[in-house]
Amino acid sequence: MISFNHVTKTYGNGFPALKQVSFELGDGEMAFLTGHSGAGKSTLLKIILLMERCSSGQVIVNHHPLDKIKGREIAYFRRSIGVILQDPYLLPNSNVHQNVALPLVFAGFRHQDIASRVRAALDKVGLLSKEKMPIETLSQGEQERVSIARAIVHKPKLLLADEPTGNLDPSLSAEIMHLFEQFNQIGVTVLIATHDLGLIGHLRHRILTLHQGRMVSTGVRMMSEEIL
Amino acid sequence: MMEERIFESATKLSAHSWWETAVFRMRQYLLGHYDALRQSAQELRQTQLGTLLTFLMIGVSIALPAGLWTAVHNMKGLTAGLSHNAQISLFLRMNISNEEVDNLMAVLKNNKAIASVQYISPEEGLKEFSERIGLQGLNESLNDNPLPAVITVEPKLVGENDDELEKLTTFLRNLPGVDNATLDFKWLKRLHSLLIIGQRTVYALALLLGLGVLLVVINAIRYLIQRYHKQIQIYQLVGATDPYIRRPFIYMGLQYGFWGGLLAWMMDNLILLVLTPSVRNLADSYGVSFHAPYLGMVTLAALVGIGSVLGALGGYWAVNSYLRAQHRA
Repeated sequence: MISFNHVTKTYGNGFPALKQVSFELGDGEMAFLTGHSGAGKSTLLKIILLMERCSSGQVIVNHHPLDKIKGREIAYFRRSIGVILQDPYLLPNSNVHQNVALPLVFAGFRHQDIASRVRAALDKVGLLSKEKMPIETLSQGEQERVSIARAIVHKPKLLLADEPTGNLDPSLSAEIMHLFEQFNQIGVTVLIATHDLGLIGHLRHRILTLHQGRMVSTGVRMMSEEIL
Repeated sequence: MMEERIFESATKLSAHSWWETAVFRMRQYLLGHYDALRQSAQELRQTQLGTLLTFLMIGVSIALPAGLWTAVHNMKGLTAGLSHNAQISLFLRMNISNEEVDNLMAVLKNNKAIASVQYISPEEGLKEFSERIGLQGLNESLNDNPLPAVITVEPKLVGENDDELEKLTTFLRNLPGVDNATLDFKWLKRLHSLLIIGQRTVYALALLLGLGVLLVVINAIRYLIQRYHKQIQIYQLVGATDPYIRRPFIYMGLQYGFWGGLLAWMMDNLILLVLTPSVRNLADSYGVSFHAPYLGMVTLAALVGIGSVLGALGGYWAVNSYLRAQHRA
């Protein structure tokens, strides 16, 4: 599903965010991406999302070499991915339903399909009763769950999350991690960037560890714990 | 290729027959345009003062060349009846008889250096003159017709040799019944040159101010893009295509141009409305009627059309350069 082959990303100011990063994540796999703040986790996710282009190396996502995807094709590529960011990136002047429906609207789904899928996604994250509520009236945790519903509503093959529990209390964080595991169990590939090792400690999934832009571990939890 | 593959995989869950899908997609496409138009109108209503100032800037930019074009166009209309070739006017004696005129015409028609001749009686001359200058009541207000009969002669030597034309003019001046002969050539050339200069000045001005309209729209749309930066990011994150993001901004530009064109038409007509009483007073003092050349519906359509196209182009350029910069990141 995801393949990084000697990927380097250097920003315009010469700062190297990623250095020779290589790893693979198979179809239906779930993994955590950990590392200190500034280790390159967000940059790695941005490269997968084509929000950034890598400076060298090759990235393949869902059988598509990303360097072959042109600017106007990015939108279509992103429709196969669900994204959850620390800032939920929700439309403040719209209600919950309108926010969750966005990926389906852009993908050209029919009105009746949109309504049923949005309700199913909201039900999954426990927000069905707040379907018509304006976004501003929701708590931070609820907004995060709206963001998750929006990420899963179009049944993506790949789910990416960047610090999805960064603003949430521990019980809610565990609940959200459980949601991600549920999606993974139905075949969705999940990659979650987080620095909260306490939260993922009891979960049996691969841990990819970044340290100063280098991938220092691609599956051994002990090593990542030692570095962190 | 890739667009299609991913798009199909995203929509196959709601698959129907091909024609239903085609109708659905067309409906979605048109609804998308309708939504973009509605959103852009809503946005313009929200930023009332800024929008009004932009409308006015565009309106002034369009009104100026449009007004000048109207003036030059009217001047051209005034001189439209004049021949572009050399012409010799023979002013006949005031008391010349019809028989003398017939004899003179016969002499002229038999001259091999002359291509054509036309007799204009004093009455016809006065009528034509009053029509050209727009003073319809002139002939009634005069007790005596001061104009002589005129024969216009078009030589075969048309502009090739000024000396030959001068010789012919001298010959014609000395014919019996002819009071005077003038070679209507150089002044006509000068007038046409002046009109061409005026016309080209208007074109250059229109081009410059058209560029001004584009820049005003680009600036206004860039400001709006800054305001909607986060919303655009959200849309892009969940799969909105570039055309979807571009659409409302293009419609905003189009509306700027549309209303700017309408304002330009109103401004030009307002100027005419303000000037009309003074001109009418002047015309009344000569006992003639004056009709103000107000800009009609065809001009309105042209101004609104040009404004809309320029506005849409400006909107497209502004949002496209923003998207290109994002794709380059």
